[in-house]
Amino acid sequence: MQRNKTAGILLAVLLTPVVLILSSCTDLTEETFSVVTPENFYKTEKEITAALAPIYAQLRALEWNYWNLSQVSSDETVVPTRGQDWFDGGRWLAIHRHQWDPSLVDINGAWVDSYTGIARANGLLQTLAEIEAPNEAQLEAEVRLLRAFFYYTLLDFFGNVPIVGDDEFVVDPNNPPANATRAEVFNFIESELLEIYDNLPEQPPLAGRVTKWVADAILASMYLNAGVFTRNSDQLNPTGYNSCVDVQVSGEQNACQAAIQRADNIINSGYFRLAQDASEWLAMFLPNNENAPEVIFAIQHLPENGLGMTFQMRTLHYNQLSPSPWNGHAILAETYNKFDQDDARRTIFLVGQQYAEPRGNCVGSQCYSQGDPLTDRTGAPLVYTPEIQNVTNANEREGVRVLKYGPDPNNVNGNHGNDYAWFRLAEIYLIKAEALNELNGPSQQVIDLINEVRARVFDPPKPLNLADYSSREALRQAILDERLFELTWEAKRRQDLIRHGQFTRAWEFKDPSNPRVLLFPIPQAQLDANPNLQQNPGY
Amino acid sequence: MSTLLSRILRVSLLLACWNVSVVIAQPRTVTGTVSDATTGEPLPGVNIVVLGTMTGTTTDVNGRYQIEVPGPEAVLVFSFVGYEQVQEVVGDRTVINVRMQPTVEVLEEIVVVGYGVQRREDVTGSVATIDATEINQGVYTSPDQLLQGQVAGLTIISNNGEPGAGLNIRLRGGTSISASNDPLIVIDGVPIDNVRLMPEGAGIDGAPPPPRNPLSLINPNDIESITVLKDAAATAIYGSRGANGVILIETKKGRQGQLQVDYEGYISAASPYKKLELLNGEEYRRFVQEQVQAGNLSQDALNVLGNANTDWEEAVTRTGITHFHNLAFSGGTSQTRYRASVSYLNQQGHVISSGLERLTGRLNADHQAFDGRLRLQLNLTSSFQHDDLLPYNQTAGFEGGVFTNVYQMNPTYPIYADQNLDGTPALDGYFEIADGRTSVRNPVAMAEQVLDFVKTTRSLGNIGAELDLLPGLTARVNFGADRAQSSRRQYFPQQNPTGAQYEGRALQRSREHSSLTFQSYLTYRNTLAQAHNVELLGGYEFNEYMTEEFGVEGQGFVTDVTTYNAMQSASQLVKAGTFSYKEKSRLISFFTRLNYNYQSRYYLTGVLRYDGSSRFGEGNKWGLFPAISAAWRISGEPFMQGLDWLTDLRLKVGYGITGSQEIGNYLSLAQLGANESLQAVFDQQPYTGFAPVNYANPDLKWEETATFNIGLDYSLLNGKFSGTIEYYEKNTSNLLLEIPVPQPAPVPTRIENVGKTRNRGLEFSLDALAVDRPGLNVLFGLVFSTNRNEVVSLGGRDQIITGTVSGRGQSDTYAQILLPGEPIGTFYGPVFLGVDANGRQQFADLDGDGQVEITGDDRTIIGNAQPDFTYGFRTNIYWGNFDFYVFIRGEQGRDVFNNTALVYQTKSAVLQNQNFLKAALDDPDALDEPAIYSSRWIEDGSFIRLDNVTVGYTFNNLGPWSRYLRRARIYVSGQNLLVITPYSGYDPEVNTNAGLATLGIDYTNYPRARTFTVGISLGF
Repeated sequence: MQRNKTAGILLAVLLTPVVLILSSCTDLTEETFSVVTPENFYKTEKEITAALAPIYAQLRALEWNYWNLSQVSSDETVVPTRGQDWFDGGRWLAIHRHQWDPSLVDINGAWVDSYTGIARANGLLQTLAEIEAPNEAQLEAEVRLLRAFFYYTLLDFFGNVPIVGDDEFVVDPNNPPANATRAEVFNFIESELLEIYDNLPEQPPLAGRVTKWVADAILASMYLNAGVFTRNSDQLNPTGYNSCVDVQVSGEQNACQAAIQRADNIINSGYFRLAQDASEWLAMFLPNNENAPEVIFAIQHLPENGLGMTFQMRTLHYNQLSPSPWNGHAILAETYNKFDQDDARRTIFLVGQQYAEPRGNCVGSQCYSQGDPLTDRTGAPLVYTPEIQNVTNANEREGVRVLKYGPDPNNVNGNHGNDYAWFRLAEIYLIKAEALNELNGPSQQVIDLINEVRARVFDPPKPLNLADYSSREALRQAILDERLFELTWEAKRRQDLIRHGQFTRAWEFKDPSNPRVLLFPIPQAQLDANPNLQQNPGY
Repeated sequence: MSTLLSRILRVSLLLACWNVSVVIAQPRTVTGTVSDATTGEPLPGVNIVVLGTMTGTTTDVNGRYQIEVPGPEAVLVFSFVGYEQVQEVVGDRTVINVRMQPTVEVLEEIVVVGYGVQRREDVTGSVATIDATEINQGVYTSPDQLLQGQVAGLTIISNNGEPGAGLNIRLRGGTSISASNDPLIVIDGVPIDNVRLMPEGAGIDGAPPPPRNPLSLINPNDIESITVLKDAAATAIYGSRGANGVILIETKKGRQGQLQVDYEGYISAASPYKKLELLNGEEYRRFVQEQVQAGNLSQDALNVLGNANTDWEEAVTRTGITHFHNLAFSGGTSQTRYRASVSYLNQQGHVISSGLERLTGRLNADHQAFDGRLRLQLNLTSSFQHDDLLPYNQTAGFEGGVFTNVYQMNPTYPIYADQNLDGTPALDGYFEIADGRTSVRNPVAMAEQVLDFVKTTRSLGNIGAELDLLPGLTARVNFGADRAQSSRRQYFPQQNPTGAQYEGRALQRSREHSSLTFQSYLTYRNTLAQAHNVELLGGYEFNEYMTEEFGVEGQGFVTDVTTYNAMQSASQLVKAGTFSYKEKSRLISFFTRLNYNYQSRYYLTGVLRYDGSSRFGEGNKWGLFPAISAAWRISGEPFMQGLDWLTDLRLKVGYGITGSQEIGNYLSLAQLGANESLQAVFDQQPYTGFAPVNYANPDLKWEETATFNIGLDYSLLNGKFSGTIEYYEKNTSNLLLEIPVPQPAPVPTRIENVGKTRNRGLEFSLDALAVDRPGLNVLFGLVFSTNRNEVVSLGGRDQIITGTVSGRGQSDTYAQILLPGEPIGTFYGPVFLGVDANGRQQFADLDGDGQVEITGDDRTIIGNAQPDFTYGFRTNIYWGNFDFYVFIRGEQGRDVFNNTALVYQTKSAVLQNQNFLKAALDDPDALDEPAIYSSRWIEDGSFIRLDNVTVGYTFNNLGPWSRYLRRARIYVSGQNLLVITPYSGYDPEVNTNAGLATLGIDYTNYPRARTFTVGISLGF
């Protein structure tokens, strides 16, 4: 009996922990530690700012896929295959030659980059609809403006994209949205921007955040491109100018008039001015360019991991910086040759022998002009040549490089601190000039606008004369050229060539292309994920 | 009676999760002793039941028993595993002593199964056992090596030849595409969370090598046996973790008797099995001169040539010396037994500046009380490992680590110099091309200057108690704890180009992992009416897992002297490398199993496990995993009795459902997180951003695998030949796949239960005692298996492109495809036709559009990494005092993508002043032809490997030493002696982790070694 008792006690001792654990017998609630769930967030103003930051952060993503596709698909830039480098399955040359298909990773990347920004904006807008936040109207306007901007990039690249956020903020995965037409997307962005316009501040609450002038700039750009942006690719004129005159937009005016009005809002705002001279023009692209006078909307950078600009890295030779740049993007010889010898904007190019020392605060040819001559990895002098003999087998030195954004001496692992201006005042001048030319044909007013832009960068001045431009067509070409000289390396050229009906023509290393390329295809991965999507014409 | 009932009641109340039966007993007493008929030793734990009743007991440690019987007509049935059953009519005896005959059948062995043991012949599922004593001892550094090639259907591929390299363990093919395919590992009954212990390090650029083998922390000398549960009938008892099979490891226990001390020690020398032929300095110089003369290279190329003749491959490799010592002592009384061991391993890598050092200790003890009715058990093990890692990368790597630079560094350059190529002074005496910014680097300097150390401590302990509540009814509780702490320290000095760009880069990372297990279960065994053998198991298990990690990264140091030890002197702490996190998960289970057999001829087993995991979505927390299996011992039928040559023949059929829940925590929850890429810049300041970091799937649940298994166990000529033939089909559904979600979405993909895969296969094994004569025994074993893997469905997706191709100019190039109808590991790409007169590679125009696009529709299936069949052959020969062991294994019909050759076997490297593989000299490619992924680089990776040859000698007569020395054996052993393969790379058995479910990709791997060992084994 004694033994049984002892055994009983022992058993009880052994089994006590069982009871303790059984109390949590079926508790499978997940306990989180290093992440937060939406239920316990968005409570303070600080948390709401923290939810705003990722929307801005997503703007940086546009500098990879959107920027590369815009640059390399145009006659500005080519990424030659250099030995084994930059072959990458042939995709860089496929982009340049307009031989992409819906499975190209960069195209899907561009789609996802923009929609991720939209999703983050929608998430915050949904939250704002449910909570009270200080200064809510302005905050909501800011978020909607950013969302409209991401839609603007989709309108430009893909045209017919689903609109999410006018009534529902989230996608039902079982019934995902179908494409809207390009005209519907255009109208959505326009109406959004018009609706929030009055709630936007004239000056940003923090440098780098958006103002009403950003809305004006987006609208000005959309109106100028309205002949393209309201039509599907198969309705465009691939070989002629797609004018804003034929498009009616909100306020019963034609798109050209609307573009001029938006441009005037910015020009007359008093917050911006053109650079005074060539040195101030060049200074707008230096690492400390945050206060450049022309900047309306810039993606801000810091020389920190993940926060920097990498345009410098894409173009410079391996031996020109530490850590090693990537020796990729170069400008086409025919495009480089278009630049006037006297144009200060030609400074942005690196050509000829390169020297060891990048000076601080320099742009383009101002850099790498001192010290010992550099060599490439085979020991040959590092002399950049405009001609690329064989684009599929280029050597390390071929192709003129674009160092518009000067290297940041404080760069961290290739992250440079230069801000990337998406809209500058000079472009607004040129938008106004182009819209005026569409509306009324060549006039002194148009020539003056262009000459104001040119006056900064020619010493002595080299203005255009109205007399040289007898037709609207002739002046169009001059404006297109001026945009190239002013906006090189700023991802505008593809858009401009499409508007001017020149995107499908032949240029260096590229044959005439199929007009379907006026829009990128809806990415295959997106068609797979969303059965309600329809492919763009011709793909 | 009342005490019995109250005890039962108490247990029932305490263990709400159990089922308990009620038993009734009667008075009248018989006592006696049960002993072994051959040795006369008492047998503890023998089951004694009164025939036709539920009364029963077991013998105590001294073989004694006491039982109450109803009267003289009662029949006592004595049964014990491994012995013939004995029946005694009580009559008027009060003392009945029984001598039991050991059974002679080979199959009558004990097999460890989930939550208990079974007689081999009672097992109805697919189970393979490895007795560690049968395998050549002493030359294994990790337990997995004991399994390699020994079990049909189990493949183990170590990622490369690095000491302690990570493993790819696959049982009957991979079922999962994105979740883990590793089998569950259970040590002494406690499931081990076989996760990465080591913190991830920073690569030079690109992904660092994959995590290392977590099992290496167990000393193979401590292992008694390993059991592999293969089919659902056997693994369903592990429910949501059983889908990839289960490996049960039992460690050695002490035995009753005097203190025994055993020592094992060996010393071995490892050198690279093979060299990849690169151009030497002379050849490189000549090649450049030829190209300059031909006008393909400018005169400048001659100016950058050096005067040295360096074999960089030779320079980074060496003969690595390993020594190992293991000291174990064991002993015990009839009540308490113990075994303790300590081991020390010091393994030098055969590549410089790499290796590991490991110290393990183990204590196993058990104790019996209350006449053996209470059995307590303790297993404790602790290990400490210090790794010295080599900086190299597995994927990408435009600059790369040691191996990348072995291939590309110009052989005309010296290892040491006063000046760099560009005239700057050489830091620390190592020659570099330039000061700091260069992307091609001296691999010797990199290996020696870059520091990468990991210290890992892991302690596993479990304590268990087993109590015989009633005859046949046993309760068991088991607590297990597993705690691992691993810290990693890296320093890239500014003296080296890898650190120069950061002005010195230091990382410290620490990872802690702990798991807690509690198990309690009841087992009831009985034989009814002499013919119905029943065993019923019911239990509850609780597991909790926790992982914590933090890391700090500093850059910009004034001096290299302080390395990673003075983080505060860094000019900046790098956000990307500075982090911490913690996560926790739970698994709660109820399980039951019924084993029934009728006259040991007809067997039926049913298993039910009810598992709940915190990882799954709200509505899918709990899942039920059933299995049923049956066996028919054909040889036990009367009509088979005439066949003397047929010792045993059994047919087994089983079907069951198991799961896999290895998907990571919190995926069913919407999470907001902050990271570097979510920061905004306002006012020239970074602002922290919080955004969704996943796309919550509240419906998330386990992957489910339904397995059908049919097998035949045979034993011929009194067990001289025995083995198994099996066929299985595994259908996995609800596959956890990352699916692109319709945009806009906060993140582009989410995990869904959509896909399906299937594995079908045939396995065959044979063990034979071919010669059995005095002084000569020849045993051999053969395993053969074939598995057909197929992706059945990818949910809504047509295909998934995977298998990142690494190297210069290969960005966004992929080598593999997951395609319904094709197996995992399918290579996909252009078809190489040849090289044209201009030295351009030509590819097939498959879509017939007149243009060859290497990215579009001109790609097709060009190979498969899964073998047609695998096999292993081993033989043990005992001839007098000599023993010989030979182990050969192979795989046939598998393809390997030689990514190393794709990138480094191209002459165009010379355009960048870089070396290349000599084979490129003979190919007709033009000097400037780029490296293009195609069928050209898919090679036949079939192989036959002479894995191990060992010759040993055991001293029978130790003469005057025999007073001190019980036994002594010396041996010499060679490992990886010969590989017969058409594959041109280092070794066809490789695994570079290049994305989702990739197999058979070889890129800049640590070469595999050939090892010679001399060892000694002593018993005191």
